[in-house]
Amino acid sequence: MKYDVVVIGSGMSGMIAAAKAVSRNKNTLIITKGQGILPLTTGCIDIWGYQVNNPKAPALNPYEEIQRLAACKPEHPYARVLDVLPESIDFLKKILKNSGYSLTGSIYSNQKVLTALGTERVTALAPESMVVKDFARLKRIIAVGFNRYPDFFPQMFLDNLNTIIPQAAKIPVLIDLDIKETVRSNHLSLLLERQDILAKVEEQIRVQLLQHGIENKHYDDSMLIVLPAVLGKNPGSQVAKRLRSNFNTQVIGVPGLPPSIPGEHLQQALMIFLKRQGVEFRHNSEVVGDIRENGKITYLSVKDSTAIFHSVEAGSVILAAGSFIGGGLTAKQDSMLEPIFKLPVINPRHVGEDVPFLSLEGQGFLEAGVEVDDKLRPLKGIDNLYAAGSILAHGNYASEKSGLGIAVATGYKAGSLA
Amino acid sequence: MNLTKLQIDALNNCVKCSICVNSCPVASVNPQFPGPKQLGVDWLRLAQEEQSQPIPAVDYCSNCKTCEAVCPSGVHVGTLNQLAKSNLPQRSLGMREEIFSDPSLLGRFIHIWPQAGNMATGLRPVKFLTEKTVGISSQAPMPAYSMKTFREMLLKYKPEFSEIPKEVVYFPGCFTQYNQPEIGMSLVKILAKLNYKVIVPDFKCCGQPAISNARLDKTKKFAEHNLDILRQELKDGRELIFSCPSCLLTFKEEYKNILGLQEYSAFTSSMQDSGQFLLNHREQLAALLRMKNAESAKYAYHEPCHLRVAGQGTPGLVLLKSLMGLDITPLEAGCCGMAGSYGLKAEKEWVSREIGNNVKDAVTNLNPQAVITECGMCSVQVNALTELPVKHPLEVLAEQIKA
Ligand SMILES: Cc1cc2nc3c(=O)[nH]c(=O)nc-3n(C[C@H](O)[C@H](O)[C@H](O)COP(=O)(O)OP(=O)(O)OC[C@H]3O[C@@H](n4cnc5c(N)ncnc54)[C@H](O)[C@@H]3O)c2cc1C
Ligand code: SF4
Ligand code: SF4
Repeated sequence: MKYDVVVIGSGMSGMIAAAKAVSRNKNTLIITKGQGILPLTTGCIDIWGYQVNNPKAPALNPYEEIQRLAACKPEHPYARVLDVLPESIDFLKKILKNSGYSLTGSIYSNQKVLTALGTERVTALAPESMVVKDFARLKRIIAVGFNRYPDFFPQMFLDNLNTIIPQAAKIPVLIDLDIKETVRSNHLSLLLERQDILAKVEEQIRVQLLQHGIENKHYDDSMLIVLPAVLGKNPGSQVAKRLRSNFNTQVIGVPGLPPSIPGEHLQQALMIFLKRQGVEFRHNSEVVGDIRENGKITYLSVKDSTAIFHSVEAGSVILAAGSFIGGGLTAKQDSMLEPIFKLPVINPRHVGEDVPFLSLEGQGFLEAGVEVDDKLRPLKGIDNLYAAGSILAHGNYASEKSGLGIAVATGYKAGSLA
Repeated sequence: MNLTKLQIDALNNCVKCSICVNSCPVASVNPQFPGPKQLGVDWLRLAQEEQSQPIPAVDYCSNCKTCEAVCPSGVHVGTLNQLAKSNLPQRSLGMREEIFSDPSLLGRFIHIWPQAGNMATGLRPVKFLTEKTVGISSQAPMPAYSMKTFREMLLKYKPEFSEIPKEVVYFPGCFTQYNQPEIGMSLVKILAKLNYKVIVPDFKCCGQPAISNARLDKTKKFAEHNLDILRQELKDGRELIFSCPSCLLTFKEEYKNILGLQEYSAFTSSMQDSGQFLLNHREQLAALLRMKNAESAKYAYHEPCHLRVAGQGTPGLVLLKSLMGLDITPLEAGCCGMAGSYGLKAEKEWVSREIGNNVKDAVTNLNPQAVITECGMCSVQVNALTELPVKHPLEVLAEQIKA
């Protein structure tokens, strides 16, 4: 059977590409070795983080900065997708909303969200459960940790917060759910779905706050209750909303070390959407090569988990196989490789260039990848192969704060053209 | 410790991202279960340096293999867990594991007098006793046994072929053989219309239940017997088809990865899901369908974990949706929790039920008339959770074939 569009990879870029293709009534198949790295993200969509003319300052309007970037760095992936950038973000918001994952924010301004370390993070779109209204007006911040849960320490969070929100009173709270083992985020997120457990959590928060002289009458919008980002098992979870309305305060969940629950929610929300739209999936399968005829790719060679080879007929192909973690790119001692189509991989930075690990520029190898033309085609002479996401060269998600933004915009464009 | 290629790959490729732990259905409901990374990969690393016993909690791994399907680095984490499990010191009596590791034993036994068997497994005092003595949960849903086995039905079935039929080999699996022969009969009838004669040799159980019950010696015996059959039957381009995803996965993958039976490699490319086999004949099949009926029944589809990891897509869903035009919505709610005999065990029944709640909630939200799934034990669980009829895609398809 022939598919109009075959997408390689089920990270953000591949899933958006498939969503766009199926919305154009293309018969679409995703072939994917594993899940993408969405669960490693915070669940926030970074689009652009710093000012192009003044890299030390955070970007206020990502879209304007990207226009500036495109003018001076035409090889950057964003420069190839400027034409569809705003609509691609709207598209993402719409389909996520469909599965209950509501994103707040836009491409025209950045916002600040808090992390589990008590630091701030600049991002463009954040799930509702992370958004704080007006840091400056906060009078009380309550940080809620859980006994035997190692990913959120209320006191450390609050200590670090002193530099960002100095004016607010800060109170740590520790909840005991009577669990003897170390508690993981996925278990905690499931527990909080249960009404009885949530009631217990609420009760313990109220009792401990009372010991600090905080009574029911003090509960209002100037009070912020901070939990780790484990507010519910599914993307459409109501846990944050329930807590907000029960306490009548602001309530957020802050992301900590990966993997994160909001990142997992993003993954689930997109997957549910795609399967229900009729996108077919071949999980646990790896694309290993292709057959070309007259300037077109006609078949993909696919290896399933048993090393059986299948060939899949494709009208067009979108390569969204990610970078080094997912295996879209592989590194040998001194060379980098794109293993499926053997596309040339370029590394704009000098290998071995000395960059401090946590420097603003990020690690050089992040910019390595494949180069594409304005239609996202990586191979001269082959006009039905497109590439999207972190496999593209010249982007650097760590320093630019551009990871999922690039994945969405390039995925969307590839899905529109394929 | 001598490492196999699979184990070396696992050690080299795992980037410790913990995505597998995050997705493991058992780990998310049971805090005592450390998850696939620690039990499989980390333990393996440790075991090389010192003679260490596997972590006993690995017994709680259901072998659903969700971890394998999500791992971005292609590590066979679930398989590593089964290998670790088989290194656990065996439980003293282990009668329950003996029973569960070969469903055909119980099947043949109950088949002597199915009414009595079904009644007995449903009786409260019997349930109570089996829980206390053997450790089979009194709460868990027991699969019902059919009055006639698939083989008995097949012997009676004499299709007429207009021309000399082509041949295809079918592995029915224990659930079709003893519990739900209608699945296999549906397939046989559809294939007869496509001019295929179905050959069902005297296979033994695929051995998946024995893997999950840490009885690899049994799996090996079954695999060797089945291998002999394949040597005789899979010639002249004949293919081997399955209606049960777990049997397919075991033949295709576990015989090689867990038992190291490399001879199977010669046959794996001839194995496929029966839905895929039918899809390869989609034009002829479309001509056999009755007029699309106006009924607006709404179905939900539950994708069995083992079908997902088998890496052949969801052909049954495609058949019903694109070919038959049914209103069928994928639940995409993850593992149902049953995992073969896992959910029948007294100490694991609660884990299984908690995992299944996800499927239950998704079904409640969709409110379908019936649920469709390929896996027999999934169907037992989904039926118990939702009280809805649960069917195999082949059964639904067969109903729509012209007489
Ligand atoms: C730890 C971490 C945290 C991050 N946090 C954020 C954040 O908070 N916000 C943000 O905006 N960005 C973040 N980023 C960046 C962002 O996650 C990535 O830029 C983005 O997810 C890349 O998506 P992708 O679809 O291109 O690739 P991936 O998500 O890597 O997906 C690649 C897919 O391709 C599949 N694949 C690979 N090879 C094959 C093959 N041969 N055959 C079939 N399938 C194949 C893989 O299995 C996988 O499904 C973070 C990155 C990291 C590493
Ligand atoms: S086995 Fe795979 S998913 Fe699990 S930690 Fe290792 S790389 Fe990540
Ligand atoms: S096989 Fe299933 S239960 Fe076992 S570790 Fe993997 S995901 Fe968890």
